[in-house]
Amino acid sequence: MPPKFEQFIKKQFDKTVLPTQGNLFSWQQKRFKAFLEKGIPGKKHEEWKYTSARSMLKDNILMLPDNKKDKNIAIENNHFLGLNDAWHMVFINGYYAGNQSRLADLDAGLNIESLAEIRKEHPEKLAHRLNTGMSDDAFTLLNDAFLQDGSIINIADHCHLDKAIHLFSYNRNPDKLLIQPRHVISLGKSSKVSIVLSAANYYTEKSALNNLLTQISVAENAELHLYLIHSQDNEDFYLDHTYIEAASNSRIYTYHLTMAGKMVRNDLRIKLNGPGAEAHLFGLYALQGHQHVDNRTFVDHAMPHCQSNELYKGILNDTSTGIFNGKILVEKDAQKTLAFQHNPNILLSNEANLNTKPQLEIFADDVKCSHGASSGGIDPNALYYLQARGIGMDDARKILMYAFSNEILDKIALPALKQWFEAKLSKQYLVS
Amino acid sequence: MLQIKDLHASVNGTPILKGVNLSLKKGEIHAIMGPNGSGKSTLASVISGKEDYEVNRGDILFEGESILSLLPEERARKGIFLAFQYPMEIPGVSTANFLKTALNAVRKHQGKDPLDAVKMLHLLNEKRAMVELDKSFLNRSLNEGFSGGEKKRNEIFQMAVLEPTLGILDETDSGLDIDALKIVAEGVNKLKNDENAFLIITHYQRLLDYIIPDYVHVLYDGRFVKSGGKELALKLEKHGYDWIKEEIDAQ
Repeated sequence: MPPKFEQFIKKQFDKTVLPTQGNLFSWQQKRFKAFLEKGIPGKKHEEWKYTSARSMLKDNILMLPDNKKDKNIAIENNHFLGLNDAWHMVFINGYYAGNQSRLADLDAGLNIESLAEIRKEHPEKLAHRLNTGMSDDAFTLLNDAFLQDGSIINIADHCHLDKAIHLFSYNRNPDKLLIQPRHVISLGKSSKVSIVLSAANYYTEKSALNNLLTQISVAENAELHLYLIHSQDNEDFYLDHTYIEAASNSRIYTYHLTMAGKMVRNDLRIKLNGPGAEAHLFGLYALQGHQHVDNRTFVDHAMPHCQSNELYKGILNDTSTGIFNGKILVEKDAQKTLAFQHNPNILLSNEANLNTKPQLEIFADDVKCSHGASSGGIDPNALYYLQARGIGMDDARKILMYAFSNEILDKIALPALKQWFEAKLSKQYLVS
Repeated sequence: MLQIKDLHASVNGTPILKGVNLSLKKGEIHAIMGPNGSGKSTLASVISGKEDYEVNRGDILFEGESILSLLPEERARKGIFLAFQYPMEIPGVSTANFLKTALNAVRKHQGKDPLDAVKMLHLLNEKRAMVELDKSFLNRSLNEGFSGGEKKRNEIFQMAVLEPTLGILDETDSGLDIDALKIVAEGVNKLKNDENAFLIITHYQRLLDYIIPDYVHVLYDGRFVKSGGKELALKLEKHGYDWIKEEIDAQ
């Protein structure tokens, strides 16, 4: 671990976590110790071959205390992603901002609270929920150790929410902040919800380090739509960890939509932990300039009769880098598994980088699995077809890129969000 | 309208066209027939400007000007339309949006304003009805999952919307049943007027029962080896291409 960062993070732990001494403290301390032992992974670490964790820790990093003053700022409307009819929970510099949030008229079956609040007042409510057992990588441990703030969201059995829940993390400080939001979400039996996560930095030329952890447990027959969005062109580093545990007959839909990002690393883990559970993982990354997106997905088929479908599509321009690492594990008892994965990419520039690695590990014998990845330029025959109708080469290329993205956009089940993305993509791609 | 002069073209260094000459005037329909591999589709692609083909000698004049240096889209905007033998499937682009973009690109070239949404829809509906394509096709992805016949009718539909001065049909009849063939032929006959012209490339005579050509040319080994009226097509239908091959090979 870079000595400077080690010094900083120890000091922060002593300053912010040590004095809390609640029920959770011994667990946090254990996690922190594990973090220090593990250290920050270097380039030789298999999981960090293409994304440099250490480069994120250069410069002076700060953690700020909760500060009411920062929360009295105006938030530009575009950060709400066109979701006019949604509940918005806003976090400024990592802390819940009640005055910026729009959480009026919550449905009876929906409960939303600030994690910092619960940690202080009722740590016993949290203690049994935090340990997901799904990953102990360094940044997960770091998030565990601090439990800065975030949300606790509970959706009651049979509760269908018509409105989406938007969790928005906004950085309003020009310093290089370390922000570690934590969302702990549970869906009751046969409930249904759409959750949208997004983040932005007011200072787009400055960089913050965002280490987000979202953990979701989905009970029997429930349906989750989870949108994980990076759309602001900024200098931030994002480490997004998403851990989902799905009970029998539940349906999980995840959407990684990455339209920008100096460094975005998405780590999505889904455990299909009851028969009949299904997961649909969609991803779109459309990058330009020197943007860098590292998508990692892990689907654990732990039980029989589950299915997973995964489609991640990438468009890489300029000197951008796209990484896809998709792992499917079919455990010994997971007979009758259906698991599919595909990662097609369009490379628009000779200097763009793509690293794709589909992985299958199968320990059951009665399963159907497939995976594949491809990369190439725009199909010259399709291009010619459009040109032969009078459409100019540049416009034809834009239309084909938009078309390529459309397969993912079509899956977005929130009409307002879909419209917002279409408009954003159109601006990037489509002709008048 | 179209003059092809001593055209030699090759693909990947292999010569395909070896001296094609053709003159096509306004109001005319010419049919180009020939055995497989004679260069028919190459000729269509070279006229429309496909990149893969290299013109080694000769020229193509359209309305008096050489078009060899023009991009495919520039040729299309001038009024050259190729109905593809194998239309591309383009998932994610609706037929309606594709045609709107294409028509407005052509109109822009002609110095016209883009059509507003209402007029555009009206036009698209009028023309698609002509080739008996269902309304739902407008919002479906271009050619995706279309049957062979639907793809070919979609080509004629596009031609009807774009109203080119030169329409080239590259084996549009292949893979069509008789009903679809009639629909395609009727579409062409409706579009036909004194100001435009058509080049019908076909392997078989049967399309020419419905679209009556003024001239029939036989392409063999990259050259026109015979020209005549529509009766030539009938003779080819009856006797095949072997007698022509023998005649040429004997020379």
